[in-house]
Amino acid sequence: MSRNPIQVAAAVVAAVLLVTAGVFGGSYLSLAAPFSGAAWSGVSDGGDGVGSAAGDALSGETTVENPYGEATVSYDADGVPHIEADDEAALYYAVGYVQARDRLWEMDLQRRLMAGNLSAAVGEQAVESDRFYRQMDFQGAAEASWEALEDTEYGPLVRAYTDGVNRYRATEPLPVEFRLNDYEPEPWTPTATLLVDKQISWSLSGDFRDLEAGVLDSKLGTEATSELYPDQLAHDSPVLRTEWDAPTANTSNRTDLAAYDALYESLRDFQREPGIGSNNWVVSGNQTASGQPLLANDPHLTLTVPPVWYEMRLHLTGDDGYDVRGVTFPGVPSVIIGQNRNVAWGVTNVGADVTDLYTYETPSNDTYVYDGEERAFETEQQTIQVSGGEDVTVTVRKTVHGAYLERETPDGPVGVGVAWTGMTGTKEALAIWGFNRAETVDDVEEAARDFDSPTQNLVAADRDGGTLYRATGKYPYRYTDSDERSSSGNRTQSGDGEVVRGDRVFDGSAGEGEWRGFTPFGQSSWEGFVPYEQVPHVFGADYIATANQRTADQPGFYLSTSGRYADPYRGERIYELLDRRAESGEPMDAEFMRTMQRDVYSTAAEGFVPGVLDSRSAMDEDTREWADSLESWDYNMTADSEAALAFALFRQEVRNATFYDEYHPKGLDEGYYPHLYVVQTLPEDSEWFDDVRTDERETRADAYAEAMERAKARADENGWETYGDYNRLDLNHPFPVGYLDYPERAMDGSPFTVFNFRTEGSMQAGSSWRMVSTFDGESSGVIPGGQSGNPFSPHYHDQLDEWAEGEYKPMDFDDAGAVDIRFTASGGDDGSDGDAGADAEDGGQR
Amino acid sequence: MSDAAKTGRLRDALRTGEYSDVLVVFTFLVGLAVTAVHWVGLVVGGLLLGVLAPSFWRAVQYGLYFGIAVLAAFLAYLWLFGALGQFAVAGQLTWLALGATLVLPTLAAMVRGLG
Repeated sequence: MSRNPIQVAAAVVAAVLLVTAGVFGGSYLSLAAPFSGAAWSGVSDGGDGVGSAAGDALSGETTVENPYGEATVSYDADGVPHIEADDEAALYYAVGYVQARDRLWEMDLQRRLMAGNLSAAVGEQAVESDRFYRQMDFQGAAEASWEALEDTEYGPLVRAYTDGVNRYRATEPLPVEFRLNDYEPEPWTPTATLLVDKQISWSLSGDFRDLEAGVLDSKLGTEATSELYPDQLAHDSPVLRTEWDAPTANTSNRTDLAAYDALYESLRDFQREPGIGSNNWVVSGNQTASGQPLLANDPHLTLTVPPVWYEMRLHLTGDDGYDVRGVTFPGVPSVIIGQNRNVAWGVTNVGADVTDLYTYETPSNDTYVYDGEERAFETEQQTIQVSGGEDVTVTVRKTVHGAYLERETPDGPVGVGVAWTGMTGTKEALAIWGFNRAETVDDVEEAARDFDSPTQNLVAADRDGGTLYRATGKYPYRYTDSDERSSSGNRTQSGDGEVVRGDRVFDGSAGEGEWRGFTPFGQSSWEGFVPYEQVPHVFGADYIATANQRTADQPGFYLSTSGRYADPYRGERIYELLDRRAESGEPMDAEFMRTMQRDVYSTAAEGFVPGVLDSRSAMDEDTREWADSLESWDYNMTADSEAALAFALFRQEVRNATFYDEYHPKGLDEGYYPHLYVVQTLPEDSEWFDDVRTDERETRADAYAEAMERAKARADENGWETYGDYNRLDLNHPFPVGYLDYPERAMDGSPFTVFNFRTEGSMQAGSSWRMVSTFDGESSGVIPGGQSGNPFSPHYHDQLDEWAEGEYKPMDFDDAGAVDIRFTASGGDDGSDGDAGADAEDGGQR
Repeated sequence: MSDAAKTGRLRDALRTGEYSDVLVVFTFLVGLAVTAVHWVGLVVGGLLLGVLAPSFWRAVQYGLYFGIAVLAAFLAYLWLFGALGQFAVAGQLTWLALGATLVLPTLAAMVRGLG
């Protein structure tokens, strides 16, 4: 039989194409092929179709062996696990298992970030990040914290949790992200949990603002900086509105840091985001309809996919049991913000200055001067593995103060030593566990003694009517005298060293700004820190609110300066609402608290708009008509408002219109601009409003008019008509795969409203968890997204619309229904390959 | 009878014999099963169907039909688990899945042109 030459040719071409597809496209086919493609690997584990329901019905509950004892997990209608056991280690094993089930990829990502091991997963784009985190040695700090915790009552629970994570990791399919990027998570360890702790602490309290302040002094002069970056913003709404009196620290002069601007530029992306903040307030039973306290908290963080928070309920039965519900960061086994049946608590960021920086004389590349003698940097060469690229070597250096960060600049290498209160063995995990078990606010106060880092505004309430405000964390005194050292190398107090403020970079070689009782990457005695009793705290207040504003006019020690505190707008508004309600005589209730959390009234707008209206004569006609919309505006930042759009865009432009002409020629970009509140309170004829590039003498009206014209041009260019056209929720997964992203939508709220949402540049931030706690079963909460990290789960973003609309789901202690996962006592090895108890098995994995 | 003749008779029996239709259906199912665990199933299914096809053009049809069958099964699977929406917005992954499912078995079946 003769063959058709055309068919033969077609067959040959087809064969060649198939081979080519297999050789060059095999990895893509492994990603996307039907059924087996990595992209679809979570389908059968999630989903809300009839197949999922049928599968669940057929398979019933999942059974898992638990070496620590029996436990059950019931997922409620919102995907929140209700975990119950009569042994606490068994409970924590189950917590580890369900957190891994729902968020293992996120846990691994945070750990990789802090350990400086991200490049091994995502490639060279993360090398600079890895370099920074390695040089800060957060891994070493986490190991020090584990050393501080492992022999406490909490240590065995962390081990059990770790075993639970590893049980899931070793026996169940990995999340889709691992398959999409073709890597695997390392076995979980207790140190990994504490690395997640360090990540939280650093993102809330770590910064290089002292370096920034020195650069600003050098470039603008101290007269200008004292006006634009005052110790305290000129408002009268601190957290503590009553006197809090104690001796204050002396002032100290800042040094010239002109040569350090390049170093600061390279480090500032790794510090606490300016403007990230939170709200919380607690109301005593004296002011409530129920006679029992109420508590509200909404921490404002970067909004991510999956969300930063994971909600869970932990129920330890028995006489010594507790029943706690709230949110935690995946990777942390206890509830960080939440309530049990007796106590509720929440936190916001203090904004304290707990990072100090030190310069040194460096006689050689490998040595520095300290205490009158030349010392060698403690130096280690580490290798950063880079996925798809060459390994990178990083030099990790340390001094007596802590990490040493050095960068090449046009003027040669420049470096600073970094001391941060989280850079030692800290025990905040133990404190949080104490909150979970607390029965009264006194228990919370006692547990908070161990809350070493970060510095937080903790509010709490108990069923019996007690309320508490307490600033947590360790606050260093800085001494200018060089101090003596014990034979062990720990710093010991000697003499009467002068206590100085920490808002400057210290001369480390001269022994300035020493922290006594602090051992970086070891165990600290904290003996030279502010005594716990002298840190601001209030028992029994009728109500008290925090929104990252100044803690107190006279905190009694150097706590911080305005650069680290938030603008006062949210704090003022919260107190205004609470004061008004208290004065009205109408008791407060949970719905009032929720209404407050939904509040979109902008006191920033209230402060600026009269000035904008007064400047209309300096605007062009189109802009003037646009500005007219502000005249009848109610200052509510709602998505359908044209005026809110005008104000939001004006607010973004006004600092540029005011400061660009002075800052830009000196190499200072908008990241250096002072607080918005500073601009609002500048006198109308302030010279900062003058544009130095013109011959005329401009005033506030000119600057405001220019800002409005730019705002109008931007709105026109983008076709924005109402605030919701600009203010859009657009949360995307770090991996650029469409179905991993959340749906986009218009939003109410702004960075300066209680209902908090900000979209600026590529950053989306806002209320990462909203909670209103009561003791009568009406507690509620919501996260911006969903409980599950599986994009095919019905709980991937099922709370997103509720959150965006300011609605809530119940946060109760009711029975969650049928058991989904039953842990049975195995009484032996759990079979996973990651022994929690032995960090040695970490095998050097970071 | 020579080996070549025996092979020819077997081939004819597979392609046009009494049970050829059953064999085609069975091969569809085998290809689908292999595809469920690895993308190579798309090629294997197409190749086997090409071998069973009585003509080149019928092979091309079989390959395409097999791709359509796999696609239908996959979409049904996604629907059953409530994941059709996510599939629809997966961008390049969606197009890659659709393209591979329809093209690979068809190309594989075209190898029938060699004999």
